[in-house]
Parts: sequence; structure tokens; C-alpha cells
Amino acid sequence: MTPEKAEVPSATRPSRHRRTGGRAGAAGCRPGAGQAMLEFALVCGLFLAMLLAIVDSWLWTIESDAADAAVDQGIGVALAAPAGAPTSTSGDVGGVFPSISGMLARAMFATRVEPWRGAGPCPAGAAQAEPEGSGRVYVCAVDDGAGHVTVTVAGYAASLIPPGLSLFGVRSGGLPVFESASVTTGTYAP
Amino acid sequence: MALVIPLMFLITIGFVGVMLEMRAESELRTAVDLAAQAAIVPPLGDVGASIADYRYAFEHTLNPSGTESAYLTVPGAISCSGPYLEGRLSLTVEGTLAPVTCSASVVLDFARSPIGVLWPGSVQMSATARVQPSLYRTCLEQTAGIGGPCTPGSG
Repeated sequence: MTPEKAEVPSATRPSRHRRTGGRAGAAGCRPGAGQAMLEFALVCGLFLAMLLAIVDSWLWTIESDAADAAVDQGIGVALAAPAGAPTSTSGDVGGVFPSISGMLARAMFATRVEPWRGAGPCPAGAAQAEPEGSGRVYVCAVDDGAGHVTVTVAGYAASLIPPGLSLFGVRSGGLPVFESASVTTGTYAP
Repeated sequence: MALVIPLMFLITIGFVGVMLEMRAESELRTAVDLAAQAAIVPPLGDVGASIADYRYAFEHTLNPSGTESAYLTVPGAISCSGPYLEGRLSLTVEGTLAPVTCSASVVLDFARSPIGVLWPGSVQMSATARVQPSLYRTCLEQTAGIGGPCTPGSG
């Protein structure tokens, strides 16, 4: 340190804040701190949103895969002759829900699996099965009487989607799950 | 920040794209599996019913109203082949009944999905399924008569 600099009184010494044009009012505030905080808030918000999107799409894949497997298994059950019927041309649709609800419930996070109680054909989409809300998935198995059985898993599984966001079929707190299969029933005679 | 945000966006869209492709593949595989199983439900020799059944099963499983199915296009019909669909049974070299083989392909159009924001391209995928016909399920009555249509031939 040179003697000239040591003699300058601290009150007249140009402060760093004054040199850079920053305000020295807030204790401990460095120049650019506000900008850094703003950038952090922006990036942090975006990071969280994208993290939620990744987690949700991963959940959706697991749940839809489980629904796919459940429908596949449900078709196998529905095609089997009902108990006590040695010869049958109609499927055992009543046995589908008890057979697949367990495996489906294990793969659905915070989502209830319920039998479809609507009359007529199975729902043709997730929104038709669950018009409002989320957290419920329905299992539907019907025999149309014309030689076909249909097994459908439809509804909205619980998700982390925030309120007010509904894009590409997703809704607040709900991810659409819809899997359906329909096959011709066989005639079995042991 | 100019680098971090696009990078995060790219990773997210890429991840969603991979998940969507996995789902589409699973959907296609299930549809082809069920179609192959449906092909051997009608009795041996009822080729018309077999063809109608596997087509029905495929078209009603790869359902256009499904969530990921909305992004799928089926360029051609499913095709199944095997001696069973020609009204006969044959044995493989291992001594088992020759299977029915079904295959189909679909195009996953990302332009109609959230991925279209970044990459509006498409991916073609295909699946194949094999099922073995069962003598019990199809030929119970005929197996009593040796030399009938349900007696497997060699090759």
C-alpha cells in the first residue's frame, strides 16, 4: 500500500458502489446480486416445471404400460368360458375386474381402480370415463352380444400437473390413461 | 442462461419423446399379439373367420381414440401367415406345430404430439408376434379320425 493511498480519508474514498453506479443502501448487497437472483428464480422455476414434466411423462408411461398389460390379460380372461359353463360362446366378462384390478392398482400411483358401472359400451376415451377430476381409473368389460368382447381401462391417473394447465389431453392433477382391446369370442367345447 | 434454458428444454422434450415412443411400441406390440391370438381362435379350415378375427382384433386394439394412438398412423393392414391360415397343420423341425406369424408396422407422427414443437418428424416401428395353434382348442372332433384335416403333416 502506498503512503498516498493510506492518507486518503475513508469518507472521501470513492466506494466500489459509486464507481459501478450501484446502490449501497442494502447491507451486504453486491452489484449484480439482483440480476443473479432474478436469473436464479427464472431458471429454478423452469427447472422445476421441466422436472415435473419429466416425472409426469415417466409416470404416464408406467401407468399406461400397466393398463396395456391389464387389458391384454383381461381379454384372456374374458375369452375364457365362465365357470360352470362347459360350452360357451360368450366370454366371462364378470371375471375381468377381479382378475386385473390388483395388478393395475399396484402400478397406479395415488389412483383408485374401480369397475365401470355405466350402461352400454365401454367409454371411448379417458375424458368420457372421467369427465371431471382425476385420480380414478375404470375397468370396463362388455360382451356386445354380437360375438365380440371389449376390455377397456380408462380414466385420469393422479399426477403433478399444476392447476390451470390443460394441454394435449392432460388436466390439472390428472394424466389420461386409455387402453382398449376388442376381439371376437371363440366357441369352446371341452 | 442462454445455454441452460434451451438445454433443459431439449432434455425435457427428448425425454417425453422417448416415453411416447416406448408407449407407441407397447401399444403396437399388444395389438399384434392379440391379433395373432385371435387368428387361431376359429377352427382349422375356417380361413375367412381367422382373417376377419385377426383384423378385427388389431383394428380395435390400436384404437385411434387412445391417448398415444392419436399420434399413430397405420400405413398398411396387418398381415398374418402360417399353415393354420391355409387350413392345414404342419410340424416344425423341433416337432411342434408350425406357428402363425403376424406382423404390422405403424408410423409415429411427432408433429401431432408435444414433441412437434421441437422436432416434427416421424418414426416408423414394426412388431411381430408368433402363436402356436392348439390341437385341443381347434381339432378336438377331427382328431378322432386319423388322416383328417387336424392331423399334422411334416414340414
